[in-house]
Amino acid sequence: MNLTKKLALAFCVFSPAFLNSQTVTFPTNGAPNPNHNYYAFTNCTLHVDAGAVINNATLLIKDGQIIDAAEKVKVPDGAVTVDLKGKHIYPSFIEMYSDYGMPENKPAQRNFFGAPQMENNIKGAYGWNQAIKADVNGYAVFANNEAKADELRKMGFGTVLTSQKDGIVRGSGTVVLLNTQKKENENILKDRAAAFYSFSKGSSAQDYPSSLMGSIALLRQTYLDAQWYATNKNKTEYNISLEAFNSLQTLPSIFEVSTKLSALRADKIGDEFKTKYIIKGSGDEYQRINDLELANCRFIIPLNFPDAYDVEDAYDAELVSTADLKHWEMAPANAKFMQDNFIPFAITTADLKDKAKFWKNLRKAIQYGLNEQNALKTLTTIPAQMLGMSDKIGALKKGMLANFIITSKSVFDEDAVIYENWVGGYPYRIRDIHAPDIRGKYELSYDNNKYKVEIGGEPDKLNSNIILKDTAKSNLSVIFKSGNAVFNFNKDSLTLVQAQLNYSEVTNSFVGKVLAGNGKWYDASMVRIGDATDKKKEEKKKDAPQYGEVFYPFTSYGRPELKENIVQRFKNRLGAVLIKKATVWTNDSVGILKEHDVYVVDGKIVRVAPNIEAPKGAFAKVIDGKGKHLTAGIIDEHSHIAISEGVNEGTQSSSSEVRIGDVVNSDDINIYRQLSGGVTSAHLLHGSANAIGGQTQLIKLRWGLAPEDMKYEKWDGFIKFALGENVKQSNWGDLNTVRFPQTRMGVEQVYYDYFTRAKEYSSKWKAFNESKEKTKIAPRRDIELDALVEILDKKRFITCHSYVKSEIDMLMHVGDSMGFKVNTFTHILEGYKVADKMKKHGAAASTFSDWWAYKMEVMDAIPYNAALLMKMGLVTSINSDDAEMGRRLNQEAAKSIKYGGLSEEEAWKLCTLNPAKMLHIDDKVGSVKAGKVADLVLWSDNPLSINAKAEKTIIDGIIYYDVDEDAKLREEIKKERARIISKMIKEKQNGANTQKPVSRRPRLYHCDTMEDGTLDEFEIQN
Amino acid sequence: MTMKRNIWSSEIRNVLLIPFLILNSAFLIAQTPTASARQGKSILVTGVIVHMGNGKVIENGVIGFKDGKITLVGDATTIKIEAGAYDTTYALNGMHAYPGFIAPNTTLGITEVDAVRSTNDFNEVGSYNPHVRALIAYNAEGKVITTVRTNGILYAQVTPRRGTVSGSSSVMGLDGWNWEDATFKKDDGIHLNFPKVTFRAQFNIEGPDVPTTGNTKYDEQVNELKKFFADAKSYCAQATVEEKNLRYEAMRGIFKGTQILYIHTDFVKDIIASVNFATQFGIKKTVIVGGNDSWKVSKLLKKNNIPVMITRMHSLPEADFDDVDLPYKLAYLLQKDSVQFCLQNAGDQEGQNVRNIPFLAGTARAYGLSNEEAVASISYSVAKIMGVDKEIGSIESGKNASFFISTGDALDMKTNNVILAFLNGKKLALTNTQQEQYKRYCNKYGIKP
Repeated sequence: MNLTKKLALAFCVFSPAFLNSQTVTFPTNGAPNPNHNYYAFTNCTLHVDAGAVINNATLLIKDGQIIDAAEKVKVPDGAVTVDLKGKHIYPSFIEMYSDYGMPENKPAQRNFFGAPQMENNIKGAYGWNQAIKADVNGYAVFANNEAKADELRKMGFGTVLTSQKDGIVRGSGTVVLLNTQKKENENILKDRAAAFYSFSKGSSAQDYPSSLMGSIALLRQTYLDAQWYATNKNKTEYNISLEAFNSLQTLPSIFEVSTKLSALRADKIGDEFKTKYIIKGSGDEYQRINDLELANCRFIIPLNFPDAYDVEDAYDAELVSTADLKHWEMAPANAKFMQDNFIPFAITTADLKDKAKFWKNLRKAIQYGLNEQNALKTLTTIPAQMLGMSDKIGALKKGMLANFIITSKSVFDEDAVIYENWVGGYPYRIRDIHAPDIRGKYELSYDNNKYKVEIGGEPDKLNSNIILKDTAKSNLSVIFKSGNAVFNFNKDSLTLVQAQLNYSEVTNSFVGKVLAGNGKWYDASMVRIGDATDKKKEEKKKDAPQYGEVFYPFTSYGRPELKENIVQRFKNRLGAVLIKKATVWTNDSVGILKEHDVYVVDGKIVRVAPNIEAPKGAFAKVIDGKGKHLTAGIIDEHSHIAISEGVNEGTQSSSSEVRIGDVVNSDDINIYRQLSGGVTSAHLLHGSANAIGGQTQLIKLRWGLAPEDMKYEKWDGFIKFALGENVKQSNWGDLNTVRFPQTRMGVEQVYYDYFTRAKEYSSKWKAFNESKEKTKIAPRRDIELDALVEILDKKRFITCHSYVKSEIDMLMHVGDSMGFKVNTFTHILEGYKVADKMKKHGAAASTFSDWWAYKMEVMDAIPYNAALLMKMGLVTSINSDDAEMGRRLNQEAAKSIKYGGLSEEEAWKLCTLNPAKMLHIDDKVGSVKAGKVADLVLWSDNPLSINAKAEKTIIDGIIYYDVDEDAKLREEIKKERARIISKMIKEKQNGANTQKPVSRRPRLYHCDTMEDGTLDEFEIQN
Repeated sequence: MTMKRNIWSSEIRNVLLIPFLILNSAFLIAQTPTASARQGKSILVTGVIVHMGNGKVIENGVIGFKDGKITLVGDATTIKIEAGAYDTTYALNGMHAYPGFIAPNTTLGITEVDAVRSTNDFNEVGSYNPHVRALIAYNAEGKVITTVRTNGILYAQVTPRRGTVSGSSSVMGLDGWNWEDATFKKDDGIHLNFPKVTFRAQFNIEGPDVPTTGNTKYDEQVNELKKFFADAKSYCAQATVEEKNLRYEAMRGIFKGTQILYIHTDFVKDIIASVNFATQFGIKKTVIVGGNDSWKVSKLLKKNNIPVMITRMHSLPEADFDDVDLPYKLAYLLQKDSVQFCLQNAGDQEGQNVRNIPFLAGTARAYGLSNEEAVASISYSVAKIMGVDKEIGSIESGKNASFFISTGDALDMKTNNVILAFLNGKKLALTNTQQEQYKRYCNKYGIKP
């Protein structure tokens, strides 16, 4: 057997000559060493791509390219031939999301209490925002990195799309080979291969944007600016960032997100700017798979399955959220969900802290249902298509790059081994292809002693044991290298110390010497008597993966009901509901009706009367309301629940470009909690950190649906304004004295300034739209001013955070002189002082019941405010601004009976009909009468009483909260948690890695919550 | 039925509130009502439903008192009262009498405006400050105080915050010219913020919140705390001390059992650690303040006879998987397992929010307590836990005449309407700046208040 010669042939390329391989344009030091040999790999099982396999095939390559790949290939004379009988060849994998060879990113050093950074700190003709790094080109900063390349090659990758992961716009990435034997010049396959985006501002320490909605707005404005910049011939600026941004637009666009909801958000931006992003997901896509399927995007997904939590301490287990528990169990099934929903995706090693887990996790994903053929596609043809390089990489066909791996068997088999990874025609040896597999059962004989020895484990991580006389086993260590095996025995159980045995592939046996405890060496032999026990196969059969159902939303109190089913019910509005014999608080001229029935069909109230009989064919769900009270659902005019990653974009005095609607968080448990308090709609507001805040979003609490499906259909858009201490940063620490305004005087001028600009902007557009000159250049679109123009055009309405009478007066004056009305003053704790003026202006008031004295500007607040405003004839409501109070708004409304003596009917309107009026939705909701939408609550008692509990909360005629179902859900959550916890404990006992349980309580927002800080102090001053 | 509940309601005015209104008008300009004068006369209240506070209720009750002490509580149908035995009689048929509610664990009076640092007198510098005393910072004329007693809260345990040992609290009657006047029980206990084994998740701008890996300094903090207690205990055991240590001196009452150790803690593991800690140091009277998870270790608390001052009930559950109404039914859960408890209201805007304590009790009632148990949870039980139940917390003969009358159910915001209140027999002025302000603007607009 002339093994050594073969090896020498196969690996001659490692000789030093090749390390000096030349790049053509570079000078040579010494004699050049050209190599144009043919390499032929014969008798292999050749996986041309995920679809085609050729048995007994030959792969012929030369100069880094595939010359032929087929069953019958004529091997030219002099070709280096490698016989790969029994071995497989696959196209090597393509890593789609990497920073391989990129300079290290330094995260921003942001000082939360420090002075603001309002401008781009990078000098030069760049754009205004430091998070727009469109000008960064991966190819320009790329350098080979041997260690990283080695790591990737060992996993089977040959090609990498790499880029700098820094900023919201991240510039272009480059496709490179992992051929570190060659210079960078020869490794770059495609200089600008893809554009990269994210919602994270990375190393930028500039304040803006501080919230997710700010990132979205910045990106949208950048698209618009770039378009304008490209078409505007008369521009007076040169902008590196916008130039670069425009040049990115021809490339495939890859958008990194950190949650499934952000994947939907990215897709929405893509729709607006006609870009179909390839979304680099986060591994939780299965939690909203149907919505993502509808988005019709391609994905790059990581395999970062979390370790089990160490939950052996029952109290520690209580720290772990249900979503985290369930995600641990379901994450390995994510790829299967993607596959089953026909979402094309590539798999990446990104996000894996321990890259060694890649194969383990990939096989796990396959075990969980990802089909092997698809798995191969996700690593080869799909990424190649994404890069538009299917003619070069991802398959093994004539003319393509010689990028392939040689494996011992089907690469997805549990014990498959990657022997070699050829990159651009250069071999990288991972494991000796000709090393024998010594795993098996043997008999060790020496000096008349005979023992049974078993060698098992992985080829590069062998383990072994010896059976002693009494059948007990003793472990021994074994190292096998270059045909020589070294065993170390446990001397206590045997008189042997060491064995040095040489392996013969002919006999499959060992001969050599053993060292006994008495210090003597004996001749020894170890003869193969059988195969090793295959533990894994047995285990595999036992452990068919089992996991719970997806909850919608993916948290406690979510239901395993597919979104479609809820939507179906909602859209078709099938089914009638009849509530019998309740005390009905109509909020209408007929007042409170005892023993009345309310009949709901197709999500609408059709009749309110005593003794209604539902037609038989309607199959109405009948609810007994006897002794109970039925009311319109509560509407919270001022809420900050269900918002992702930031409620304030308070980094500038105006942020009218940001939209809460972009960041609705359908997973917030507080949605369910509010439902349990009888809330059916919530007006989600931007915070109060700046004079002109962001656009608001009205939602219905359709628990279980995706963000877009929760949004109130066809409503007048609103925007949040704010006055007073928050706006002038009174309580932000001594360093925040830079941003204009710092006084109430300045606040007025902010409004005059912005509305003046908005008017001019509006007339520019008007002139342009009316102009007949086709060549005329359009003015720059400014999404910030767009929102203000909408206010002037009465298409968007203001709800203004306000406390003190002087500034309330001021804003009404500004409005009167600039031509807009303040629709609602929210908080408006000194509203009682200016009630007459507000009435004249036509403003509504949305206030707290009894909050006061939490800061200087609320020292004159009185709990009689709501009652007085009502008495003055203003449309008045009670709001929460607080997730906790939001579920007790009935009680807060009741306080106006105590403070100010409102009647019960009047008090009840404070949290139902009146907020509906101020939100312009009272034609649809807010009262119980025929023709209105069935947003209803059935209460156990008079809803204004502290004894009242919401028993059923109904939206669009669908019961979203039911006290009886709630009781069942509680039990189910407990069961589901116990099931997963016991599974985790088993996992730990089986030796798996675990992580420490961690508390992950969702953040609660108030008006003042600033995103760049963890300042609890800010949270108390609403 | 929309009977007017406000204090200017006509029916009520005719019967009894004439003196009150006169008094009232005298304060139209004043910002804060003047402290009440000593009451020398004997007074009888008849026809009221007496919620005694100790769990008992008298449907047709009478209450008589003189010199600040209750002399008579009983059922009108069985008690004979001689005509002219009392100087003044209030016939308040069908109204409700309650013992003055007590707000434990609050910064009421030692802060005025939360966001204005100069008004915050509850956070002293340093980790171990047992010698720091809340009462001396108590502003008896603070504006918030009068808005609280108008809802029936007549006592507050004024409590410092910050540090590991924050200092001592005192129980104040909510009336007086100054803190000396107002003090009911001086330095009733010392407050310990027990180290937390874990912290809540950190907010992360770049994506979902970053979970915390727990308190890495926990062991260090607990060891430091134990050292302090061990040293203090040793100091207190010495017949004569070499050099006076104010901090250790302040701890004497804790070890003697004349003062209570209030341990502020919520997470179940911290509660267990707190109980073990108190046992280890032989603390005679320990109270858990907060105790979110106390229901999980009710047996342990009962066995060690440790009461709980329950976290503000109007809170969200800690965990997503908690029962949605868990905070609301916490009182019931402890009651069921015979753990002694009372309600408290620390948290955001805690001074101002003291006026909502009756409604916390209302919530406890809606979620499992009987009406009288709910009343007790903010009166008798508080007094008992603070060790002052001999004098306050219930309407019983011999106790301080500190009670109030509400026209309706005082635990429901819809009906809570306090028209008469006595503190140690002194009739309280039931006005406050907020009412005044309301009336001024009603006058301005010419509308009826």
